[in-house]
Amino acid sequence: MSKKFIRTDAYEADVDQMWAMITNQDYWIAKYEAIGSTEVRWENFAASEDSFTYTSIRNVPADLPSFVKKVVGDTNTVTTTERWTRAGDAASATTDIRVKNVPGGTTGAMQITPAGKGSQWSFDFDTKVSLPLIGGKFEGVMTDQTGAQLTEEKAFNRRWLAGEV
Amino acid sequence: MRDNPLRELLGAITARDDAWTAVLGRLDELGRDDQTSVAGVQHDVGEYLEDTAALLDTLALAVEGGRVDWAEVLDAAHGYLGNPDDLVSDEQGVLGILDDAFVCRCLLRQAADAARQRQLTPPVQVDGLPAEQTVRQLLGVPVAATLEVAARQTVADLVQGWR
Repeated sequence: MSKKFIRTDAYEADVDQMWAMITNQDYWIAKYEAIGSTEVRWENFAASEDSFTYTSIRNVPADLPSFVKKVVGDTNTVTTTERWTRAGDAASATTDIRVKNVPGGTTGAMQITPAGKGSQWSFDFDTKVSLPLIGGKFEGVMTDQTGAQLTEEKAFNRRWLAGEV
Repeated sequence: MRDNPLRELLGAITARDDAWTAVLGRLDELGRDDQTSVAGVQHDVGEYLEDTAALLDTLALAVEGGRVDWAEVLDAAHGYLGNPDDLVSDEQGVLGILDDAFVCRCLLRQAADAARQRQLTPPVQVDGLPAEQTVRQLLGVPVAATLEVAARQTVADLVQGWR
């Protein structure tokens, strides 16, 4: 089994503005700092007019249940890879998120598409944790954490797009 | 080398005065409470736990040495070991870590089988030990069966990327 996560966030900014944001490494650095990530390392960051790829490794603060902390350890170290492509009036991506010491992870797809005068950023993620008997509980925790983090990121994105950061 | 949570559990639990209490209770239920039987079980179970800890050490060294294909198998074993409120609570002393060791051996044995089926060489070899049957009896057949199925499902997921 695995745990599905689907979400869509609306933005006043259009797709071009969203693309300009996500392909700017300063945005990621500022966002990670704003949401409390530490020890950020970049395995790669490559952006062009029609494609964008990055892999980051960072420690993510999270209020995790004790049974998860026992496995994850004192620091919640997360490796994220996103591969974006810009085609037509939309942008789409695959994502892969791994937590250190946890077998499995989150994979999925993202899309930024026009919506009215702005755009919408949609997420379709699947979390699978391969642990005997307790994998399902882990998947629930990781999915909740993903949702909480995306809510923080959305708030930051709006401030960035408004030029407040 | 990465810490071995089974060794940490063993160290903490065997230091307790009541480490063997739950095991002795199970032997009583099983009608195996004579002195010879108890001494034999304690010896064999001790060997079983030590051998399992050694297997995890071997795997951790192999992963550090480059067998990254087995990193998630090690993570899965450590993950079960890290949960104190698993199928048999760690509060039950030696009995409470037998399910952990049993799961670890199932994971490693089944992953090794899966590797061999793919013409790959597993970094660990899980041999049968005298305590295998006794451990099943101590855990109880339903618990052992549940753990075996859980380990099999886990390994099926983990080896999907193996060629």
